[in-house]
Amino acid sequence: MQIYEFAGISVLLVLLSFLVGILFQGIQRKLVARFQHRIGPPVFQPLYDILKLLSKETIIPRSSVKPVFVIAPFVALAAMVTAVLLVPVAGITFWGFTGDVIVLLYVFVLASIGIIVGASASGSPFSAVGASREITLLISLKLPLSIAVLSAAFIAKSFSIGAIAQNNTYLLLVGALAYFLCMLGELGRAPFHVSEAETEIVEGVYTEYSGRLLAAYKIAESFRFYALPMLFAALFLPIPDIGAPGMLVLQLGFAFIAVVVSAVVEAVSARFKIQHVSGFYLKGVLALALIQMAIALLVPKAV
Amino acid sequence: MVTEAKTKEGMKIPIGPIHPALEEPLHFTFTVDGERVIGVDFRLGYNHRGIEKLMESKDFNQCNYLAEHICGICSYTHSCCYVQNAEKIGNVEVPPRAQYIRTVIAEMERIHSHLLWAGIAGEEIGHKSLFMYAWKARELIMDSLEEVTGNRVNHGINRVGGVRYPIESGHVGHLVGRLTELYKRIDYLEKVFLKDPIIERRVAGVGVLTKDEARKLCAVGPTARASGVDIDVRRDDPYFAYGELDFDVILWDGGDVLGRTAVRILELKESVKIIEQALRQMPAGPYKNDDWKIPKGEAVSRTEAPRGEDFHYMRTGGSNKPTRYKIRTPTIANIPPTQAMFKEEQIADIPIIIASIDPCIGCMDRVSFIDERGTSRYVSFKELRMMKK
Repeated sequence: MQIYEFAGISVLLVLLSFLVGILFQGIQRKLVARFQHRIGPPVFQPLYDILKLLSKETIIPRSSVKPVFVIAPFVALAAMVTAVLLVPVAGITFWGFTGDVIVLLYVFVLASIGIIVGASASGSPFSAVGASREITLLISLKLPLSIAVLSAAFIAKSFSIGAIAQNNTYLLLVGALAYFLCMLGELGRAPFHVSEAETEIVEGVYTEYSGRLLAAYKIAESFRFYALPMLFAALFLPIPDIGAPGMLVLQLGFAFIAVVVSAVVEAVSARFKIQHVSGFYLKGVLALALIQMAIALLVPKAV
Repeated sequence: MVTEAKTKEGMKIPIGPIHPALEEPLHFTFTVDGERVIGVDFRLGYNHRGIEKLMESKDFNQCNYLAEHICGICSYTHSCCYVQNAEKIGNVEVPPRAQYIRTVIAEMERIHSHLLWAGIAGEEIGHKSLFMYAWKARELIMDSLEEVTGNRVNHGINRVGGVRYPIESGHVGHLVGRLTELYKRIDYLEKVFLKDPIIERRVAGVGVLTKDEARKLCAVGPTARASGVDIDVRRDDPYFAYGELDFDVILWDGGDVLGRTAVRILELKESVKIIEQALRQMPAGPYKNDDWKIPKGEAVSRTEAPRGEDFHYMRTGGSNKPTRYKIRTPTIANIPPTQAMFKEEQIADIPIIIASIDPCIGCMDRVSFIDERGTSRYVSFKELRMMKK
């Protein structure tokens, strides 16, 4: 009996987080539109796009490596679903176990690799350039991201996401900034939208994808829009223990603020070049993350 | 990344004829090594419409209409070139008031064209907000153009011997009010384009065209002026009322995309000044002269289009139609310099470099270039039908 409950709650969690992700994505687009004096698409436009894509024909280019081309989107999607199940909601990690924070970091890498491999297998020069940019992004972005998350783990003295989320501290503000900047890159929004830079390389990594395969990537992207801001709120911002509903509202509120700030950043910035992106992450953000790591290792001992 | 497209000499990336960075059909093949561009080849001729031939079958009034439809953005400047040619051959005296009205419309067109360009430039470097802001400012001048001439793009206000209607006094008030508002917005755009750190990283030192190269490759207009080549038809060979107006020719030394941006933005301010002056100094009197006949003869005329020098040649045989008409638009002169600009740049710079010359392919294609190496071939209609089966 317990296994059915477990599965049922997991499915419910994934569906709800998908909707929240869509909502965050839609609100972000709407906000950017308002900043630009546009009316903007309906808030549920990302969902409509996915539903439309699911009913469209899937074209597999002749120059592609077919099995890899078909499997890669689902690797990315599966990785993101796993990530969503590991994200703590109101201080509880439903699927939690000791060491899950390490798994979570690897799962995010796996999601990016799903995109890179699919793009490389599609045989289009635009995708190849997009894939090489995505790799650069992956290398330069995941290092500060991981260091920021791990310093949160050091401060909480635990490798379990649930314990980190329950640990309320103000020592993580530098790391929060580092994580937030990495989140912008992970979400692929301006000024870091280099791997699908429309005017340069068409749709970049997604150029050859269509129909259901593209929908799989889009769904993964919606999950990303849920997982990263929610993780930001849970790991880095102090959420006092005021009962599950209150904590959930607070976490959603913090995540929402992160989405709003990302919309502001998107509205005021042009696109970086890829060397600017890696410079930005490997100099500025990495320094922030290392400072946070130093704080995490030194301060608790002093106290 | 290793893909089939990658070869020993580098990967070939096709940009165009259909690509999000291009508004019009034009084809570039870039050879890239990683992100670095190591070679470029371009191909024109996708938009050849046979306008020169069509000109020979229209009478002089219809030709004016057709000339205005050469381009969709700088339409008025082509009409100006045409009427100047006709007036030169026919020795038509144009009332000074008409010349001032033409100057005002031509400068309004420059403002709308440069603002349109500013928006596109923003979009090419991934700055969608800038695109929206520039185009919102552009609507001000578009509204005025519609009010003054009756049309937003193809104004239809020129005629051989003058203009169709004068600018009404009420419209002058509106225009001056909008120009004041526009000046503020241009100030803002100038601040963003020249001071924003991310934009500066994208445009400063990118796509450099040296002064020597600009001269050698015959660049015109803002593209040449941004490289320090001091040419401007409005000052060098004054037409309309430009000789009586006081304005500066904007020059820039760098020759990079930043320079071409700065020249255009600062020219916007000059245009506002020119319009205000012309409206103040506009003489009273007739605005058209219908007493003309065009004899046998030939003439050339040039105007400073928003993109550079626009050149028209007309030959007449004494009938009511031209016997030969030749058009050289500024874009065709500015395309070869792009090859020098692409040297050692990155893929990310390609769109903004193409955009920085403000290409207008629709009005550019006069001839189809044939591949000398013989790799392309013509397909007859019969063969096409065979392929369909």
